[in-house]
Amino acid sequence: MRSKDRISYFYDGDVGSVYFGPNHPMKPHRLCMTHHLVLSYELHQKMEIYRPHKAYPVELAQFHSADYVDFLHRITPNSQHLFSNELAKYNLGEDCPVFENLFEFCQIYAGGTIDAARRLNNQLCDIAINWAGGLHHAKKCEASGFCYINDLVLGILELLKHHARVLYIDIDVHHGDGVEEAFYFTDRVMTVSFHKYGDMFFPGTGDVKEIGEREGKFYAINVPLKDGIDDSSFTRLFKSIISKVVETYVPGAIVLQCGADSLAGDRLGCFNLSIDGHAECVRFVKKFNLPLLVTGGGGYTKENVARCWAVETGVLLDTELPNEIPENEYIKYFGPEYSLRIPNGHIENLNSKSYLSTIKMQVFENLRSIQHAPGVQMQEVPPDFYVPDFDEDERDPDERMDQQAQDKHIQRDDEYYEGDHDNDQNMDDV
Amino acid sequence: MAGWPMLADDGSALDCAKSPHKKLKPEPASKGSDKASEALVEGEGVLDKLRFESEEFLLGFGEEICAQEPFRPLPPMLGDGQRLDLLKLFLVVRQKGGYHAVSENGLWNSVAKESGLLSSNLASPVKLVYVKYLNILERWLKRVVENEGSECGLSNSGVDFVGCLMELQAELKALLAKVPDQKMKDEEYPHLELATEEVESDGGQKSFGDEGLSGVDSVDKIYDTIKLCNENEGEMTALDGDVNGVVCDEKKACLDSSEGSNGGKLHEYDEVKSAAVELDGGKNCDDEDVVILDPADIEDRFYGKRKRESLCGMQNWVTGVAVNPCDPAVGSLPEWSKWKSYGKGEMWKQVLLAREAIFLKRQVDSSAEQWQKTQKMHPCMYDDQLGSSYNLRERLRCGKNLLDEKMMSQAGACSESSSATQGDLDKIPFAGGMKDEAINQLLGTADSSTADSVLDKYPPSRIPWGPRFEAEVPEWTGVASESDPKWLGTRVWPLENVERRSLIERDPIGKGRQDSCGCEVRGSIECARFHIAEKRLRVKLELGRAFYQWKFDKMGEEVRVSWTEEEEKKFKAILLSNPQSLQKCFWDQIFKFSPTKSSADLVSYYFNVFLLQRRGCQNRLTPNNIDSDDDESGSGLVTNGIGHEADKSPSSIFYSPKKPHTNFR
Repeated sequence: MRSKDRISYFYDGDVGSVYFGPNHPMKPHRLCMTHHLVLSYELHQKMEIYRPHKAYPVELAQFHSADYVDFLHRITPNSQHLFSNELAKYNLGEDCPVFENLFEFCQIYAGGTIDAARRLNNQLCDIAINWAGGLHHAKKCEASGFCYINDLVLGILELLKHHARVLYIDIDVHHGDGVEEAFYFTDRVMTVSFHKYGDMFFPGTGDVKEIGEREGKFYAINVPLKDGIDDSSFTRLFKSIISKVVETYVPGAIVLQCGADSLAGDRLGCFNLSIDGHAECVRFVKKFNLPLLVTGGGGYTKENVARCWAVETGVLLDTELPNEIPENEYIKYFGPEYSLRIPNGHIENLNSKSYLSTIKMQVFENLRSIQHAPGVQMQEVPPDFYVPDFDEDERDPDERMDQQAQDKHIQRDDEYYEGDHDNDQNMDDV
Repeated sequence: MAGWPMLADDGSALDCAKSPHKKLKPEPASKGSDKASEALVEGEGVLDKLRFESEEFLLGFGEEICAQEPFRPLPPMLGDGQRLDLLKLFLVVRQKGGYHAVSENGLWNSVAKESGLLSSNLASPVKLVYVKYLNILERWLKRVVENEGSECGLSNSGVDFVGCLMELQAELKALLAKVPDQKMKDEEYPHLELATEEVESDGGQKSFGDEGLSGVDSVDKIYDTIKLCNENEGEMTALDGDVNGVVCDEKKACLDSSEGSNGGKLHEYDEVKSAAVELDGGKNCDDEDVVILDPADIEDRFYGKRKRESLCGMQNWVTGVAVNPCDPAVGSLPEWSKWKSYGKGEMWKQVLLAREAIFLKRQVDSSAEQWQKTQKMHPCMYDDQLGSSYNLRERLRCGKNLLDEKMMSQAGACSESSSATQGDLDKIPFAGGMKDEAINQLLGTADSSTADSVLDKYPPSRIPWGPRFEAEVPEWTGVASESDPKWLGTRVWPLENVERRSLIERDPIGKGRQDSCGCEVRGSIECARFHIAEKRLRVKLELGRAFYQWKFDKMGEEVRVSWTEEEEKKFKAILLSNPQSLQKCFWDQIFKFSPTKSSADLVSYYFNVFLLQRRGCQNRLTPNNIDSDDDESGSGLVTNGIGHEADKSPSSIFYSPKKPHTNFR
């Protein structure tokens, strides 16, 4: 069945040739592979594909400081030795090298996320995908963790022009510190990050106790996890927390950062998620039927990144992808199995049940402090949303989910649907 | 008991609820606290003269200090009825080096004498009075002197507060230096204002300490006390209904249903304060060996001191409203935002204040219980009706000022939460000092690490705050602002002209790879190459212009078409000759040897041809030892055979990855 959602997918052929330097784990070439895989599965037939505009420096300066943007604009590999002070100041160098076309690369991925947000705002699509984006570590005035420009913050700021509240969800193995920091003091954005925490794991923030401050108090949620978390515990935790969050916060739009370094076998990550588990989170978020901006993020085993994001593109298009990867230019990268499935991780799962439930209770308790959506709520027509009413103790989530999916399909058939009222149908669902 | 506050001076019960209102008012002019001052005029006629001169100072002091740590009733009296001159006491202690010095040197007896007290052995009562009345001032002053920046502890109360506090400091210093006498008198003023509040809370708290009751029992006790008041005085029936958890119809009738968060703020304020007061009282009872009164006594004092007249009128009014809510004589309530500008003369205002007075006790003491209830509330956030009492709490929660924060943490602490809440508790400014311990004990979250300073209760945040870190989030106006429609991306797919697409026979969407083909040797290199080429042609045909826009022409092994065999050989040779041990950069060499190629070309060749071919070899030769992504390593190369983590070329024209992974591990 064809998806009712209108999907906009952003890709610029230029990102594939960006190179951070030898041995740098971040390989934009993975975007090329992802796109290739998406196309080889013929997914492009079901969506619109856009080439993003290159974000202007002034657009980047909506969040970043003008001096930082300007410096990124000017610096080149050949001139960098003249600016050692600035390089240090902006944290450029080791993790965040200066490479050729650095600024153009930033413009492309940031432009993609901004365009995606704008298309959502103008109701030109229901879901927008920019796998090139999701660089969640970048700070206002400095680069961090392979991230130069924080396209997520820019995208969220764009969404905030049309929505009173935006929910940001981050399933990268690393803490989404840049986004959290940008919105730590506001209740207009709730950030929820699931990440590895402890053992000096980068970036070192993301304790469950970091919950936001001032107006933003209780509007930052951190779910710190330990090594080796597997599909079942991760998705269960994810679903219960996210459904509660959406129920409580009632966001107008959701931004989902799908960092693929939380997959098993990642070069830098340490989780045991399979692609199915990772994609299950995407599927779950999609079910809320809210304007959804999906970005990439980390992911340092590039064929797995390509696999994962192709599968998730399929999920967003309601298309199940067969396991055998179709012929394409890069098929060799997917050998020797040439399949979508990735080997199971064998990192020991250090997340005990009691640990996870402690974290969950902590998060829930903080959420309870909100109860009401914030003051801005009152000024907006309450958006309709779809709460899957997830209750792990009651029933098998999968079964329940199927039922819901079914209901949705039934409704969908006879439903005439206009862009302006894309959520109306849910009135009956709730 | 040893000189515990005089209750005779109290204003009406409503005063206790009123004083915090006044403190919340930003403009000093609105401070006209007729009621409270009236009650005091008799004893402190002098105050009248001084009041206006120093009103601003008082207001600030009240806001910043007293509000958080309410002052006791004045004048302080010792057990034997002697009045203690606070100013004198303060100056004497100051002269002797401050509280700690006096305590350490056991000078309290002489302090008592020098303060003009007659009988001997008054060390402990005087010390108590000092602790209760003046210690906070002393410590505050000390901090002001020691650390000009101490107001950062207050920074969460907004920039204005800080500025205000700084002014206060200056003012206070000046006052201390020049007119100490006046200052002391002034200082007494807020004491007086708060006296009534203290009385009430103390009364309840004493029963707490006395009976050693659990929190709930203690609540009951207070209720009982209040009920007794009602029975005896027949004045507070409406409130009685409230206390018993009956939804108060009168209240509903007389209140605008759109009571908003501002009203809530006041409640919170009260709550925080009253908690401090109560806990303080409890602590005092325990520590100072104060003779504890029996409950009957408490009740006696509790209601015996109220001003009955004011309540009579209010009660009549409430009754009238209850009988006939639509009576035009009742009039309508103004907007809640204007409530605080009304004086106590308004009947509805009195009712509100009375309700607060009741609620602030109830909510503090039974917050754990209420917390449970609120959890069950559906997040039906548009509901703003006045309901039962926990609904009120619900509303409080949406308040968005710093008081909110305090209230939260308090409630959180009551629910016996874990360390995170403890952290919050620490953030309550001014709740510290001598009360820390008591609070922690009572809330079951004892934490010895709580500093005893009053002003540094706000731990530095790990998340930096400020214009160099935060995103500028505009206020939500309710109206979507325009975004530039020009930059929405350029559509590449589907193509504008679609005729050609119909010619192409397409595989079904999402179809996977077919395992069967007609090739002679299935799975051979030739077979794979053929199918890839076939697919490529088809994709090219289908995508049309998009094929080039997506740079598909520069993807895959096609890239090598533009390379001569010699160049390829050279590239490979350079790469293979650069194992990690040599610490050389193959890119440097490659650039040297391939001046005609741009770095983009080289990178493209590297990913599209070299790595792909290498991976192809790996797939065939060492399928169990695929080095999934360490592209730069020589592992899996036919020449190297094995090997892993062979990080080559750590220095390059681009950057020197000394330890490319460490930051992520």
